Amino acid sequence: MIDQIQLQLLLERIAVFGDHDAYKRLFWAFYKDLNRFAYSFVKSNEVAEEIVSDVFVNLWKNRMRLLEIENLKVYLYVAVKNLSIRHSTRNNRDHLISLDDLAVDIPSTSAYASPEELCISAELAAAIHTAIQNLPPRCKIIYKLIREDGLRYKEVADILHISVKTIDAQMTIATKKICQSINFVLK
Amino acid sequence: MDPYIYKETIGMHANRIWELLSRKMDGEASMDELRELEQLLMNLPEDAYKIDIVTSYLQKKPDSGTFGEEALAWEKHIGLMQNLHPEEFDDASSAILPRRRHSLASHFRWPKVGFYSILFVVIFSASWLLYQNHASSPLSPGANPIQLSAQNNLPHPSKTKKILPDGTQVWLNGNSHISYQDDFGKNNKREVVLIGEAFFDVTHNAHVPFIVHARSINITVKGTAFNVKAYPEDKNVETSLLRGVVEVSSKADPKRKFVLKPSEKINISVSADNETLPSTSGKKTVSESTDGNNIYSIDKLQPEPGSDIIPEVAWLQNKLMFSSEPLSEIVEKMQRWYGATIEIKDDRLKDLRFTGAFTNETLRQALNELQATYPFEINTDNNVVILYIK
Repeated sequence: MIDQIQLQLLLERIAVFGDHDAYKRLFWAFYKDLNRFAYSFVKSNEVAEEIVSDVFVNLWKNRMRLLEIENLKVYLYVAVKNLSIRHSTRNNRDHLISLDDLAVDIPSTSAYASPEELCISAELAAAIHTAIQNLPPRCKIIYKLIREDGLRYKEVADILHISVKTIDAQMTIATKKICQSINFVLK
Repeated sequence: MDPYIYKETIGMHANRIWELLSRKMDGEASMDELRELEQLLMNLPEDAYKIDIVTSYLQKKPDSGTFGEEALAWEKHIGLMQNLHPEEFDDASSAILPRRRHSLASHFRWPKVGFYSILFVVIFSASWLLYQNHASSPLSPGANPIQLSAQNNLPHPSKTKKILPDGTQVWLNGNSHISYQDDFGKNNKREVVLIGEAFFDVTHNAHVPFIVHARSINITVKGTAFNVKAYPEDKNVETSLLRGVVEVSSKADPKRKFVLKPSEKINISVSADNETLPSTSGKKTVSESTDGNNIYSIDKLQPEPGSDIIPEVAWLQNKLMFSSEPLSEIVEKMQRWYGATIEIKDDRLKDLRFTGAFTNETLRQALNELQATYPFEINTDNNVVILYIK
């Protein structure tokens, strides 16, 4: 996760100097998370990749105005969301995207610290992951943006156009389900 | 699988626990909420243990050690950019440059040409009351001081961003204040008093110098990136220069100016007494010297082995870092970091040296990690954490 101050510095370097290196770092820092976010809407790796690339094309085109952006993270996620929705509704104008229809991808167990490191059993790790995978889509996208991408409640509220209260409630459900899922594995 | 069995053990506070736990894990909990959670879990030791395991597992962020996916996507993307903007992206080398670490230090290396702002860091403190009652207060009395404070009810010091009238941006660390008079920027003066720790991004103005008052030390900004550490309980004021030029002088002897070169730090001893005492002369210019009442030493700044991070400015990246420091000093840092009160009951512990870094760890996790290196005991009494040897 990239630090807020580093992010601001990158932004200034791109906006003021048209710095290619800073542009590249920004791309590297956000690519994976934005790609997964786009995927949950469009359900195609290829399209998700194009959408993230397009967002960065636009970012470069409008770099002179980047300093007007209040929160770059929110800006990037919203841009990806808008392009994703536009793509999904291109063929079907009446089709509304609901948070309940998203296909959220959560990294497999191997992406976390190994169970041995934490002295827990592989079964336990697997149980936790099953619980995360089985979260309802709305809960899962919120969980992913906060726990995996490291966004703040307020930022996710701005991105998904929902209230912080809803996020608080959904995260409570997620934590409860995950903790409860391991109750019967642990001795 | 009957979820009600679990519900019964946790009792009627179940939902509140999940709510508080979520907020804690996401860094959204207030100090009061953290205390409430600890209180609730204290009555449920068995559940607390299980919860501990799950949260410690989930807190570990997925580590994207390989960047194969990013590399591939970037190659494609830069190809597209070269087609769209051939005049700007004609040089393919930008796509091949090895990826550099994201680090604060590396940002300071780029050319000075066209810099429209100056970045620097100041950590400073003195008791606020001392400043207000002090006759030699750096700011003239009469005008209304304006004070900006960081929120300090969060588990980690939050970097609250404030903007001064001249456009200078300030990130305040936890428990920190900055104040200035309402004539700031007028009369060819930009002066601020800082208590605690802050990161400044100063709007450049060659005609109006920017001065930071830090206890008995003044720092005049000349286009620079630097760090000053001067908490009230510290015996030294430490100024670390990353880039550019900085001039450090003592109020006791304003004519004696230390000009630091990049990657140098100067440590000047201060005590409550000599802040008001005029300096007596008698100067030696060696790496460690006495200058009147001030003892000072100049050292080189060294990044941590294997990384670009300079410990003096690690706090900007939300890192609490210490390199072969005695526990007494680490505890000072942890108190500021976690906003907790920690006491060392056994003198043998005070001089034990530790090296390490904390990022997302809770206070308990951090202490447990120290404990793993040297087996001391931890006891919590009335929100005071006590460290001792059995």
